[in-house]
Amino acid sequence: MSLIIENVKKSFGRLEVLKGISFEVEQGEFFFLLGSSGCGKSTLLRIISGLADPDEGRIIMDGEDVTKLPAEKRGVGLVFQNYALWPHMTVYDNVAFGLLVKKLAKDEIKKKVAKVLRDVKLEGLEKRYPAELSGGQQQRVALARALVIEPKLVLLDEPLSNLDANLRLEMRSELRRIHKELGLTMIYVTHDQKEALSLANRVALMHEGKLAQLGSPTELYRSPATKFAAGFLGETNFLKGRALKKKESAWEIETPWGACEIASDRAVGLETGKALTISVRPEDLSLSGNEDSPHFAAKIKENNFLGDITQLVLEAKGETLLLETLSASGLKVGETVKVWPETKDIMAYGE
Amino acid sequence: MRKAPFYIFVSALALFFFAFLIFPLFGILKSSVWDGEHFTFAYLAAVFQNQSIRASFFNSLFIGVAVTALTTFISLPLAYFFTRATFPLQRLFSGLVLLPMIMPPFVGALGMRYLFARCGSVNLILNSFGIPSVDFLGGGGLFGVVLLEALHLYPIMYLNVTASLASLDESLLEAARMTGAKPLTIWRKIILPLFLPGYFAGAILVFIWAFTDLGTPLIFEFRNCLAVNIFDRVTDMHSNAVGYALVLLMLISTCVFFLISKALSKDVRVISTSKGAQGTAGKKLGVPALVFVYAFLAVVTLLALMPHISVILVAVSDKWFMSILPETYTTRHFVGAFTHKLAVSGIRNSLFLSSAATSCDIILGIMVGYLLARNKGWWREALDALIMLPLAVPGIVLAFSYLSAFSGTRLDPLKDPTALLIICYSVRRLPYIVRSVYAGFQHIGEAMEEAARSLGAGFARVTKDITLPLLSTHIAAGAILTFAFCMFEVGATILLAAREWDYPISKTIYALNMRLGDGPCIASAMGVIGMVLLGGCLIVSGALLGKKMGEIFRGSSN
Repeated sequence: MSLIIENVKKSFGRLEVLKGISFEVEQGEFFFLLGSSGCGKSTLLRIISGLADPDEGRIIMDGEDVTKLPAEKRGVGLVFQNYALWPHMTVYDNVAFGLLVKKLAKDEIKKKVAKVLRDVKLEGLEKRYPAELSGGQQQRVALARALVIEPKLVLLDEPLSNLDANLRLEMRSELRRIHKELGLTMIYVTHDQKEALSLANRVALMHEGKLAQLGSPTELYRSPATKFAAGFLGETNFLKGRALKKKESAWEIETPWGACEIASDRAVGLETGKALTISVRPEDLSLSGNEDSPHFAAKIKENNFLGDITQLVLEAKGETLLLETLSASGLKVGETVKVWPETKDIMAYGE
Repeated sequence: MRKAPFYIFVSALALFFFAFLIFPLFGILKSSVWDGEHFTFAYLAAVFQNQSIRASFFNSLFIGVAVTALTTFISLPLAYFFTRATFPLQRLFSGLVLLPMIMPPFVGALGMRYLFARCGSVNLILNSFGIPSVDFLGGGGLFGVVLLEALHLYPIMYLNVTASLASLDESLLEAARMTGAKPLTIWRKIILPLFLPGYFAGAILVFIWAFTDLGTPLIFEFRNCLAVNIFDRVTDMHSNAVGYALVLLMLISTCVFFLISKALSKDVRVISTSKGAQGTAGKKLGVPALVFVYAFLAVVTLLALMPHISVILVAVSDKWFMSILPETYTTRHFVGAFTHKLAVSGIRNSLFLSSAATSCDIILGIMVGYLLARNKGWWREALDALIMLPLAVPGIVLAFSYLSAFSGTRLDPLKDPTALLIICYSVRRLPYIVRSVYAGFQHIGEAMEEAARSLGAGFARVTKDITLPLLSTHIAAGAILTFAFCMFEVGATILLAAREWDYPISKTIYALNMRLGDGPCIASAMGVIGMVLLGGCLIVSGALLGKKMGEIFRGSSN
């Protein structure tokens, strides 16, 4: 199913939670709403599900305006953060509920429940009550309950946040498999960037009730559209600089390592002569390079061995920055090193 | 809930409360300050100028304060022992200390007169040791009233205080300790602020109950208190407006105290603690502490059971005069309780009235609980305040206002009090069932219903398959408590039920007690039957609610 969100606004009292959000989700997409808590992503999910009404704007599903349609008539599956499994019903009854509501024949219900339980690998647990299941199993029941009604759209509200780290990894690949096998359109709300980056076709990054950026995980990570987006996804170093001159398809900017040029699609809101913030990822700083290319000296403040990589905390020109490298053996705290930035990957944001 | 049914229900509810709470109470206010032609303070002035009325007001105030203080003194150590320590027989004692709830104080008073009167059993024992008689029920019965009410009401205080202490998670105190705070600072800054709201919530219920109780002073023939004064003026209420002024005085007093306690018990939301928290696991007690705990528990349990034991003794006594225990025993009073015309109709009336009021409250309680728990809006607070208002309105005040508002109408209690008794019981007990249902809604959480809606279930289906089954224990517990309290409602019952064949149990007991001969014994036998009934109800609802029992008996909503 395709979905269009059109200028959706929502306030609770004086608090403006959604300030006009618009985007489209395509059929079969695994779409993520990513943002820190309080950014409005769960409210938006509830509005899509029909459990909450927008103050303004429209929700269009497969070309039909469903803004006024109550939740029970939207045919949307919803997986709750705390699962919301009914404690007085068995696994079978929980999953079969939506089909009973649709008044399906008993045999058909049996068949469908059996299939969906197979899909989420829960065969044999039909007679158990939610309290008799592990966290991961409860999660699967919640998923099965949402999937069994064969929804056109599945909404997942931080579905993995109550699981421990190992289980979360396992469920991530389960979700990827289920999405692929069933070809469903899924919208997934999370604050966990790793979940979003690893699973999503596209991510809508939300910030203070607005859409900060919309794009593929790679786009969001490699070309964050705002300073907020750069800081939210992964780690980055923010350094001060100044815009010097606009060229045809590039900007000349002043950086801690001297003047350099960046492509104009990596420069956001710059004005000649004005201050700017440079974002450079830790993995885009390197300890080796050509003496002719721009580089600068930095002092090692910390040397953190993280197993696969080593993270160095450096000090240069009064600023602290992070550098990630594969081999940093032999480097000592207090030592001065030369640092080469990958200038084609940096971003610059006007102040 | 959809818009139209929502507005219909809220309007119906508002109409019901207006007709049976606001309108009658407004009538009291009007009659107290309006002489038919002019606005006047003469009646209120008469109340304050009359020395005997002034004395009765202060006596009631004294009873309220003394009972609250006494219940605090009993409950605090109890709650501390049961939440912060572990000791053998803890479960047994935790049940025993709640026993006083199964008998209304006016029933206990029937038996306690035999034990503590000037020539009662206790004085006879003292005399046998050469100790002169002590006037236990001195002050014209005042001390007897205070003692009886304190013994009956301390469980309500105890449940509140325990709930408060139990929510004080050990990790909160540990966190304070980690900052280097001294014990006194922790006590002042952490324990007290978290504990006091629960305490005041319980204290106000105890205070209002004691301040306005009619049954116990009547049985002890302590007539110089506000409730009895009002009772005495019912007969000439249409010719003498001082009764109205008295009722207004009582109502204003309870409302003022209620508001004060509300302000003091501003809800503190305790965020549930993270994994690995210590909880409130009790400490094992050393021998000296253990001796102290058992001694305290023994004294409290013995005192608390005294009224029960005495009522049972009176109920089975054949001859009991100037002897420590009855001289001979009999079961004929129980036969009387099941065959005496008045007793049989009393039990039948009470069962009918209480069932009707409870059914009414179940329906209202579920709807109001739903509105409060599942809706947001400015009216939510107003609705909550309206529903909880009956907690501040004593039964006797409400009954007096009904007598004044509905006499001469179709609902005239002198013609047939059934309808008004049912309404009065429903209005007065609604807060308890709403509390219980509300707690249930909070417990199950909104997501349970939303999950069903997202699967295509409509409002009716969600209610039938999800909400009601999940709420059932809370509804049952609230209903059982409501039923039990209706069975032994005293204040309103004594005022509203005028004809013998309309008497519910409580007024039957009162009436039988006034009769010479076997009257008090049959009354006691009925008290024992009531005790068994009430006890059964409380055990069942306690089992259903578990530790949440305390939430029902709170003076402010959470």
